[in-house]
Amino acid sequence: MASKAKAVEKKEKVGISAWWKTELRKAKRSKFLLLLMLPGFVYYIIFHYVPMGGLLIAFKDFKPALGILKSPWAESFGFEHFIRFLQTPDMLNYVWNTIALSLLNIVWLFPLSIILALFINEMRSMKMKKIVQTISYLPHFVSVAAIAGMITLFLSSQGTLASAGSYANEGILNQLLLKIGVIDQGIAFLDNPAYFRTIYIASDVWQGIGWSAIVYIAALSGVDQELYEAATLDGATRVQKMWHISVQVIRPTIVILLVMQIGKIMSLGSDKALLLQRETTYEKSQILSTYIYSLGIGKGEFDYSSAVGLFNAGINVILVLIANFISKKMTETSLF
Amino acid sequence: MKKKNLLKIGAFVLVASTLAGCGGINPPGKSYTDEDGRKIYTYNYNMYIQGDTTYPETNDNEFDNMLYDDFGIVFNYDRIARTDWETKTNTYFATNDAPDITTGGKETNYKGWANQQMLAPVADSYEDLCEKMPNYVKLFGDSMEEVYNLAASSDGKLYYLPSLRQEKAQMCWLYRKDIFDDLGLEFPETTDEFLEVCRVLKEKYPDKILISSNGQKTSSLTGFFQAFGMPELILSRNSFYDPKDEEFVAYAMATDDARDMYIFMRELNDLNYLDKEILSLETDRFSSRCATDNAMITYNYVYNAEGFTTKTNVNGKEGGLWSPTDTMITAHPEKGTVFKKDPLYSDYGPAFSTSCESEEGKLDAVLKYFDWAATPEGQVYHTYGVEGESFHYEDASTVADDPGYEENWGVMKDGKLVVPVVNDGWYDMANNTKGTKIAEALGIPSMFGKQPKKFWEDRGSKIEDLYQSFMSKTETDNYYYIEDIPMRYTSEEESRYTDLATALATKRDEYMARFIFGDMDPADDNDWNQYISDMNRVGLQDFVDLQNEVFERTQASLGE
Amino acid sequence: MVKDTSLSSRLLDVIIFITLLLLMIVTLYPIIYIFSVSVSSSTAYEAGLIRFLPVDFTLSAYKVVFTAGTVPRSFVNSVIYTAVYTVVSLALTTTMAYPLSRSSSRVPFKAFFSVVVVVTMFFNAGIAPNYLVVRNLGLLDSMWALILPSAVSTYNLVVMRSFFQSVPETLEEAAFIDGANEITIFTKIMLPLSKAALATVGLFYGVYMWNSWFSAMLYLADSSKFPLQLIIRQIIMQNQMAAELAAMGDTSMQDALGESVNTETVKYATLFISVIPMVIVYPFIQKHFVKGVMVGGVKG
Repeated sequence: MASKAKAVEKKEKVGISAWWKTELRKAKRSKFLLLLMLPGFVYYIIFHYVPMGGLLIAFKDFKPALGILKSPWAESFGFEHFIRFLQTPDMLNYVWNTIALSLLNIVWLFPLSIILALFINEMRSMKMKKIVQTISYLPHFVSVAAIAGMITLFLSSQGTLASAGSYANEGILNQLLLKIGVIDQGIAFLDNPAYFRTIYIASDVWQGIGWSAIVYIAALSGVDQELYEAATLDGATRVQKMWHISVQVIRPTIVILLVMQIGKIMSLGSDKALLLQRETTYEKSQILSTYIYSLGIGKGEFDYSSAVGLFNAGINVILVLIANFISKKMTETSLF
Repeated sequence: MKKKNLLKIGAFVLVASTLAGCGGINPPGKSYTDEDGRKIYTYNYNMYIQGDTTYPETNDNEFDNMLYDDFGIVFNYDRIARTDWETKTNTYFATNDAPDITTGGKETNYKGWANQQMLAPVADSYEDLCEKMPNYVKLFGDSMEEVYNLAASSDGKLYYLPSLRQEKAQMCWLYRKDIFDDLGLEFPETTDEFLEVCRVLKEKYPDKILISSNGQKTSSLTGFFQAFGMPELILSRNSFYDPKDEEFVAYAMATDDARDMYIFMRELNDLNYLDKEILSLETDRFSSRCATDNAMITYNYVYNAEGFTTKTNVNGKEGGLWSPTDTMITAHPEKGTVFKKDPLYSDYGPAFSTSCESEEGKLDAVLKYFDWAATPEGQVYHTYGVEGESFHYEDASTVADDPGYEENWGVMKDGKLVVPVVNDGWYDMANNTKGTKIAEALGIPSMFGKQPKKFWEDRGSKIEDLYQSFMSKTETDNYYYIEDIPMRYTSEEESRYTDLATALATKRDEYMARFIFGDMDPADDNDWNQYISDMNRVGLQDFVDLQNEVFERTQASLGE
Repeated sequence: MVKDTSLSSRLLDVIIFITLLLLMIVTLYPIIYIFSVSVSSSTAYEAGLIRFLPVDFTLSAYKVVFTAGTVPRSFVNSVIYTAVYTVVSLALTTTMAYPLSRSSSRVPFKAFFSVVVVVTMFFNAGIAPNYLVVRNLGLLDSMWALILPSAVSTYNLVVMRSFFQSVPETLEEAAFIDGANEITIFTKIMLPLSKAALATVGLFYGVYMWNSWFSAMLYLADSSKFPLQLIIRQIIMQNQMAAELAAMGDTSMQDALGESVNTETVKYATLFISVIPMVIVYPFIQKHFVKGVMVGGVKG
């Protein structure tokens, strides 16, 4: 850290032109490295930076016939769309729905995947370990569309009464609940906003628990077995060893991943929410990305949806910078 | 070595990326003069399709050759699945890459693009249309002027070609006749009677759910909307003109009638008469409702009764019988009973981009083709293909060469079309298996195609019967229907309308579920006022003002 | 390891066993259910008879999928796109990640390139501008429209970079002293060392391309080029659309659905087919994969 700070100081002292000269000298020396980066660089310019000019649309009153550049600027010094978004009555609701889903994901998926990793690590049979691992990340490969299809099927309900002889119109979950007598009438889970988050997060966990656990399992597999044996000789129980050795080993990993997750809170994708949401659950299921999607594609309001997206991206930058800063402080590793 | 390979790949990718492909999907088609000195116009044709139809890969087929020979036009097709249509077409228009010809849109799409000056007008006035496309106008008969007024944009010009609908009235209540007969029940005429009938049914079948539908919210509730004096498409139209009260209702779903409807439906739900998934159910799951007798009443298409009966009598069950009824339910018998008369036309297009105006004669050339397609000759061509190749005439009746065709397709008898033709005729009816064959063999998209005879037998006659039956009740039983009204928005009003309507619809649907199934009680004043104040928060009052203003202005301008 | 046979330890074993068993059941059940529906008769499905195992075993749904539909061709397309994409993406990612992982004393303009990469994590231009670029490059309706615009994922680039960073610099210094140049270090030392990371990132890319449909929908016009997921989406969406359209008075799509009796079982057969390849490929790279995730994940 210290040497880096010095380097920065030095650079500032000698000025831009000198810095330019050093970089050029380096370029002459490492032509190969520069060459290696060229294709990737060209990719970024063409497919990211050229279209990024299109973000201008967020400040324009976009008229397709005129194109992006010739369209007139939006009112309020180009900020009309931003103002409109901030004045949307349900704006805070969308933001909150987004944050709530992200946070719930962290609250559930994080501890559960850690527990899974610890449990797998404690298994004695190597063969079983492998089988459990392989099966547990299978769901990660199932596409979101397929998952949404399954959820619809499993959670459906006509509202059959428990007293009815046949529960054929209930999804498998309702059938189960009716049979064991937990509910006296089938519940149409997907049509009820009260269940939306639970469904969303539960399916996240189903799909992601094995996948997220891989990192921890890998970290745990690197632990020196002697540590455990020494602890055993000291009379530690297995639970104690799990806590004092295993958990401590993966702590840095947990911290970094947690910080990174927090940085991504606002960038929740629209795919799954779009497939799971119904008009009846908008209250809970409308998140920023689905709102942008429905305006941009559904209504063709590209200028407005682009402004909302830009607004979202701005918040994301701030969040990630903060998360990155914390990560750097706590673990000396960072995203960049 | 590896490095070289990597570099090679990189270089290859860059070169390939510039060489691959062959330009945009929709660069406006160029016109040229062929060897014979004829002017040939080329169009990019955004055609929406369904199902698995395969089309000839090149333009060397009967249909495209006919277009070339007879009309001097060439179509380059971009065939888009219905499910992807919205995304793709919106992107085309947003990037100023609109195809010369677009089909598959909704009227709001076309009017929106027209306001953005991206479409070329088909006609400047009704008279202009009559002059330009006489055969097309003839299709609609007396209703053409009304159709024109409804479909025209705010500047009075028509920016797309509506298509004639064959279905005049196709939705009604369906019920399990076997069960009703068994209990000596008649289908109810009022909401009170409806509750009573449900009570009797529930007494006999305490474990069954009585009312379901596969139409999802928009059409599942249609029967109930009408029972409370609102038109069937109220969720998408928002406003309507009440012919009985002779007043314009600017936002129906916030009126006392809407509240009464919610209270009624809430009662149906609380008594366990109503399917909990009625707002989101799909056809497949509705079939399982039928299979287990968990649906006895549904608001649906008249011709679906047979299918539902089949779905009911599965796994050894017998005797189930779904039957349509021409009895509609009303909450206000003194005022009358609403039934659904279908709109006069469908709004799938085609529409023509301004690129068609860029060259002299380009628009006219393609309009000439569409006008020909509306003639009896054109219709037969699009339905049967070519005389001698896929069909022949017997006593002035069309007979398809493939005997399988005849069973499925309509006929032309004594030089007259028996089937009145052209349902949503503008777009491809590929899903009709026989149409698929023609499309595959000859490349003819069955635009303007005659409806298959099978269609007529399965559906058309039922639709016609239902329509006649409803219409006769308008004279005897105080039945009435609610017609669409022309609303002409300016460009600025249009975008305000879209914004407000979207925001309102989101709120409305959210409360709809809560009122019928959830934590809000529509009968409770506090809950209802909360709904109204939430709706006001997202612009209900602005919307009402806008609609009233546009309505009055449009009426005034049409009155002139 | 000393074997712990105390009661508490035994108890823990039981708890772990039961928990993991439950997890396995919950994980596998839906997948098996999909399979069961896909090989059952549609009447059994509609009567709600299928709980777990197939009822009225029949392969008719698969017959429909493989004969009439566009599924077989789109399956092949998907395999090709995924393979080409994975190779192209890996090449671009590796070549970009390696220099960015080296010390800034060796890499010219490293800070500049890093910024170029990182900014793209936040700002996305949106559909229309991306479409314009793809169109202007003349990529529309070609395989490259799916591959090139998303060829490098910045997240994967960071994972790859982290991996290279984890290789100790002393290794390179030793090689330099032995007279190796940058080229030999990259090809002879770094690449062979990074098999695990390549497998990992390759799998990330492969899974992404296999499951993606949006760009295919937007950029492809010719249905013979459609990937499997686009077809699946159309199949799943159709039901929903049919009801929506019917409400608007357009029954054409219901006609289309009415023709195929097996809609729902066909849907599940298609879903099941889409999962198979990943399940087959995965065990082969699993070994490398765990290692790769560890390094990439911990650092990145």
